Amino acid sequence: MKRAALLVGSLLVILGVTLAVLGLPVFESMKLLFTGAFGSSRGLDSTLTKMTPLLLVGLGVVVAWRAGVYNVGGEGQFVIGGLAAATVAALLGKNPSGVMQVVVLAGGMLGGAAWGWIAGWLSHRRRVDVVISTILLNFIAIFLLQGLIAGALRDPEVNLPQSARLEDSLRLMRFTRQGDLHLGFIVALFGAAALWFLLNRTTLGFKLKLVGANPLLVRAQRLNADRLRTFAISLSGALCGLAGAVEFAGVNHRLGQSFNQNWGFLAIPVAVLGGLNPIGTAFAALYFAAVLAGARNLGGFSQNGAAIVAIVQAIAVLGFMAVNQWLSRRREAVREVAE
Amino acid sequence: MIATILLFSVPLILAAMGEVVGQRAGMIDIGQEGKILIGAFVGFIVAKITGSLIVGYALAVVAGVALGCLSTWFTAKLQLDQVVVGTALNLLALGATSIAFRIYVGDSGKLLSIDKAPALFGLDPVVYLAILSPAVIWFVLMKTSWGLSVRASGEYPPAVEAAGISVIRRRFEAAMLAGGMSGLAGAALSIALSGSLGEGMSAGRGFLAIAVVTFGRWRAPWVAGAALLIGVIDAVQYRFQGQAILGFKPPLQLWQALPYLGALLILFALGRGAGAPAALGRAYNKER
Repeated sequence: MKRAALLVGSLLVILGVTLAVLGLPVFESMKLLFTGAFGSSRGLDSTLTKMTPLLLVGLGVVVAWRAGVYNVGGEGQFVIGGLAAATVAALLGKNPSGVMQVVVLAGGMLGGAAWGWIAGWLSHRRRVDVVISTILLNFIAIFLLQGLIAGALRDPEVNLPQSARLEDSLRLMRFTRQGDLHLGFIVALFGAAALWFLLNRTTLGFKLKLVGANPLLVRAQRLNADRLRTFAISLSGALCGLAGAVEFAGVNHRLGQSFNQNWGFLAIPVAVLGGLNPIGTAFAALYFAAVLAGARNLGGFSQNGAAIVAIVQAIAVLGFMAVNQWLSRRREAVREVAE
Repeated sequence: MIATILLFSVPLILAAMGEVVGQRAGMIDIGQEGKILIGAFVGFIVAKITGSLIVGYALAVVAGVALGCLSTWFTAKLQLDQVVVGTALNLLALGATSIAFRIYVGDSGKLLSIDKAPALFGLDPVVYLAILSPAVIWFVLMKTSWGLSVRASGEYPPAVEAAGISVIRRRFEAAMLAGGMSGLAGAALSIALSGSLGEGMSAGRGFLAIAVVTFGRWRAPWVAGAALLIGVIDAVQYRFQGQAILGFKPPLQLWQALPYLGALLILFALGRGAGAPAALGRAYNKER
């Protein structure tokens, strides 16, 4: 608890310093950020809406990294999830039943899982480094998105490269008439709870963590480490794909050129700062979503919300890990002296 | 066409040469993308303000060296995870350049361009630097005692310590060289290749450089060949964009994806195989 408080405090300090470097009045901007994020129902709505993809992709990062698989392909898996969901929606035709929303989301999960599985398979069969393959797959996914919205998925009635508008019955329920907050937020919270249960209360979760912590022990137990890793990155891809599907069916209702919004990259520090556990990740996602939403109030920098978040995240991750390392070293030294 | 290919390959070759040195010393640097981006910005803006391309290149190199030091401080000195540190550096570069772009260009929408360096025998001078770099890096890594201890730092660090050389120090030096090359690659990208400044203009070249090092098997000349191959693919796709082949007109995006798709397919075909430094990606800890 003390550590969480320390982390929250230092995150605020880092945000303040970043604002100061940008030449903004620190306290006033912080207040503006806060009221922008939480001060009105509109702000809160925007914060929780932005928290949804950050949390889902962050959970994807958690499950893969805990299993020792450095999936940095959240961005690509997010995009493929959106594409798969849009494809399923297009195949369902006009006026599908509302129940089909489940099928659309499942399609997104399946697409993301498949995209993650490719990297897992390449690593398992051809020993291609997951970091490299997932990065390359990110670029391929983004070009695929741009190709498909200009081609097969394009809405013929609009002059821009965009996919067709999602049928009303397939849109995720919204909580208010004015806001964007949608059912996907609940899905994301549920996902966090489910992942917590998987990692902490099931044998499979234990095996996944074991692969990450001690692969040799896994082999000694006659478990198939490669299969566990491939499963981990597929599940990770499924969560990122779900994020894409939820963003498509809940917020945008169509795919455009800027669909990806760097969610996949911004979610990595979210998971790291969340201590690679689902509950911590939820809080980290809330914090950065609030900065993103609140940045709207920052006048000249209102367009740079994502940039400010990226900077704060980078400094926070480096600082957080450095302090952690220092603390654990000091503890070791104290123990040695005691012995 | 050959001039185009060379120009397209320049940033990738320079960055990949830096990455070879870093990986041989045991560090896989995801943050290279960010270093290239910073190099592109620093090089361009400094050259624009001072009116001297050489000063621009020089400060881009300095920025790259400084970032190399910073990331090694985290990965070698504090022994933090290299992927996380690299990701953080990329985010820092992305955020910083995006805000710098806003402050520098503002809402004026003014077109940012720069006069390129006068051509030397028909090619931008930086091309010769890129052609020369694989030989230099090869010599330094394979024929000097410094290079030997760098390679040993990535292969079997305890041997380096046993010889009385600090692994951490070698990694710092290797990362400074690698960072300088990335900065240079970035400046070449903005000053020589495009002659303009754009947000996120590194467009994944740093990541491609990492892939290229793998399929060049960590040997400078092979890596340069691999980078050139990707450069050829990139130049070819640029040339053929929007043209019909055998009556079929592939979409633009398929062409644009070709370098990345090609890199992935080559990695798939080759597999990881032998040749990777044994201690790649691992922090060295004396006590363990």
